[in-house]
Amino acid sequence: MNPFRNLSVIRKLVQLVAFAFFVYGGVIVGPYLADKISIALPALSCAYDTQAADLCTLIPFQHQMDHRLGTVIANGGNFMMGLMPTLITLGTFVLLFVILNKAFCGWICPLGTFQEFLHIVGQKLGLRRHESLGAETVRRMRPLKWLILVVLVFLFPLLTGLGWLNHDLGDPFCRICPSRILTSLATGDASQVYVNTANATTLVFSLIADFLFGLIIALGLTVRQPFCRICPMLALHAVFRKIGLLRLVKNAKPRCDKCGLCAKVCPMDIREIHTEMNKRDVTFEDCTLCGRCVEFCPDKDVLQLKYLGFPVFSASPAYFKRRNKAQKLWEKTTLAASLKRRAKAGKAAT
Amino acid sequence: MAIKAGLISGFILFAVLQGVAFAGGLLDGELMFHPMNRGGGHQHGQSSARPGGKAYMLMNGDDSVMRMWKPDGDSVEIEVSGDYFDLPMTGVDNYHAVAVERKRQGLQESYMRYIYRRGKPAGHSPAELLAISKSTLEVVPDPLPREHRRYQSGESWPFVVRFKGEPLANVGVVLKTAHGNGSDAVSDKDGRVRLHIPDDFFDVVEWQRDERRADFAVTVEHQDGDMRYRTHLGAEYEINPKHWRSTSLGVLVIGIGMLVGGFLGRVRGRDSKEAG
Repeated sequence: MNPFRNLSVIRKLVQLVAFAFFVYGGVIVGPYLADKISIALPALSCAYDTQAADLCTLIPFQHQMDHRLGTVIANGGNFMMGLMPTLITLGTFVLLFVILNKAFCGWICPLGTFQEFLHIVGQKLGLRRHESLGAETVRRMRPLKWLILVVLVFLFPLLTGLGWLNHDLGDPFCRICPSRILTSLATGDASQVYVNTANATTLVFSLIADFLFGLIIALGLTVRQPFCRICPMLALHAVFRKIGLLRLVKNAKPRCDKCGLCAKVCPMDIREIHTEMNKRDVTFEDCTLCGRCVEFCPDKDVLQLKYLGFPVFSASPAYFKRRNKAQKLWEKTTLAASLKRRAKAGKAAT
Repeated sequence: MAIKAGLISGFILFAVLQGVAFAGGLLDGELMFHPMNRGGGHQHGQSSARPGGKAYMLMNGDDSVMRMWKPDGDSVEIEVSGDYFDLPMTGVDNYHAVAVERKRQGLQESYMRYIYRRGKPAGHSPAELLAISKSTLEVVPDPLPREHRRYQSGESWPFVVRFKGEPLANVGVVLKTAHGNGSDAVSDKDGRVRLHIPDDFFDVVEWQRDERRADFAVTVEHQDGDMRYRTHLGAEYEINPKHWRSTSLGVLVIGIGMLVGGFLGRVRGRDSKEAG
C-alpha cells in the first residue's frame, strides 16, 4: 500500500510535525514570539516547556479560577469581570475546537503522539500487547476524566482563589500532568522531574506526577493510549463535541452487528461505534477522531469522517483490503521476528 | 498628627530596611534603584509584584535623569523627587525598561532594570524593547526570562554588552550579588557573555521551600576617548528550587511507576492469554 494513501501514516506525519511545532516551536518562532503566542492563544501545548510555541488551555482555566473568579467571589467585586477571562479562554478554545473538533487529541496532542509511539515501540520490541481493554475496565475509567476536569481543573483552583485551600492547589492538574514532564524533558530540561518537599501538598502531587509518568511509559508499551482515557482535555472536548465541524458518522447496516472490527481497532476501546445502530453521529465522548475505525470498516460508506457535512474520508472495501494487508505486514515486522530470521539464516549458512 | 508622622516614618524605615535587606552592599555609593518591598510568595514575573505602579528607592541619584520605555518602544521621563518614586501605569503590561543616567566630569553612569508587568499581551515582542538603545553603554539580557521564569541562583544566563547601540567585544563583565559573591567573563566578538549567578543565599535549609529574593547587578566599564562609561543592569534572583526539589528522587519515583506499569502489563497479558 502506498504509505501516503494510508490514513494512519498521514496522521502519524501530522502528529510528528505538530509535536515538533508544539514542543520546539519556540526555536522556530523565537522565545519572545513564542511567549507572545503563549499568552495570546491559550490552547494546545504545555507552558512548562520553555521551547513551546503555545500553551495548554487547562493552565489558564486553573489560574483564572484561582486568581480571578475565586478572588472576585472572596473579596467582592464585579462577578462578570472575574468570569470574563475564563469566558475568553473558553471562547478561544471553542473557536479552535469548532475547526478541529476532537481531532486535537488524535492528530495534534503531543502526549497522545508520545503514547502512540510508545505503543509502536512495544509492538516492535515484540511485547505482548493488549489490543483492547475489557468493557468493564473501560466503563469504570470513563468517569475519571470528568472527575479530574471538575475537581482538579476547576474546583480546587476556585477554592484556592476563595482562600479555602493553600496556594499549591491553585494548579493541581498541571502538578500531576504527564505532559508537563514529557514536553520539558523533550527539550532537554529535567527541571520538571522532581519530588517537591516544600510541604505535604507539593510532596503528594509531585509523587503522583512522577509515578503516573512512569506508569504511562510502561503501560503505553502494551496498552493503547493509557493516559488519554483519563485526560480532562478529552472531557472538555466531549462537552463541545456537538459544535465541531469534523464528525464521525455511521450509516449502520445489518452486517455491522456481526463485524465489530471498528471497535476492535479503536485505540480508545469505544465499543459503541460497533453497537450503535440508530445514531448517525457517532463522535462519542472518548472518540479522538483518529479515523482508524473508518480505515478498518470493510463496508462502503458505513463509517465516514465528515467535515461540514461533506465526507472527507469514507470506508471502502478496496481501501480496507489494502490497509488490512499493510497492517498485517507491519505487525509481522518486529525485533524478535527479525532476530529469529537472522538466527535462522545464520544456521542455514553454517 | 504625631501618630500619622510616626506611621509615615515607620513605613519609610520599613521600606528602607527592606531595600537594604535585598540590595544591601550591592553597588555601594553607586547610582542604582530597586523595588522597596519585595516579599516572597507567588508572583508572576521577575520584579513587579502587581501590575500597577510600584514604589522604588533611588540611591545616589543626584543630578540623574530617569526614563521608562514601554514594550512598543515609546518612552517617558520619570520625575524623581527625593529618594522614592513610583513607576507610572502605561496602559500596557509585559516588560518595561527603566534606566537612570547621570553625566559627571569624565564619567557617564547608568543603571537599568527590566520590569515585568503581568497580564495581557503587549502586542510587541520584548525583543523590540531589548533592541532599543537606552544608554550609551548598556548590558542587555539575551533573552529576558519568560513568563513564569525568573533568574535563579546557580543558573547561568547570557547577556550582551552594547556601546552606542553596537556589540562591544573583549570587555570585562562582572556579576555581583547582594550577598557579595559574583562571577565574571569577557564579552566575545558579538558582545555576548554568559554569567553564572552564585547559589549564595544565607541559611538555606535543604528540603524546605524558601522564597527569598535578592538583587544582583551586571557591571561593565568602558573608556572611550576622554569619557569613562559605567553601566549596571540590575535584576532580582531567587533561591533555586533544587534545594527543595529532588530530581534524583523524581527519577526514582518514575522508575517505580514504570515497574508497577510493567507488572500491570504482565498481569493483564497473562489474564488475556488465559481468557483467550
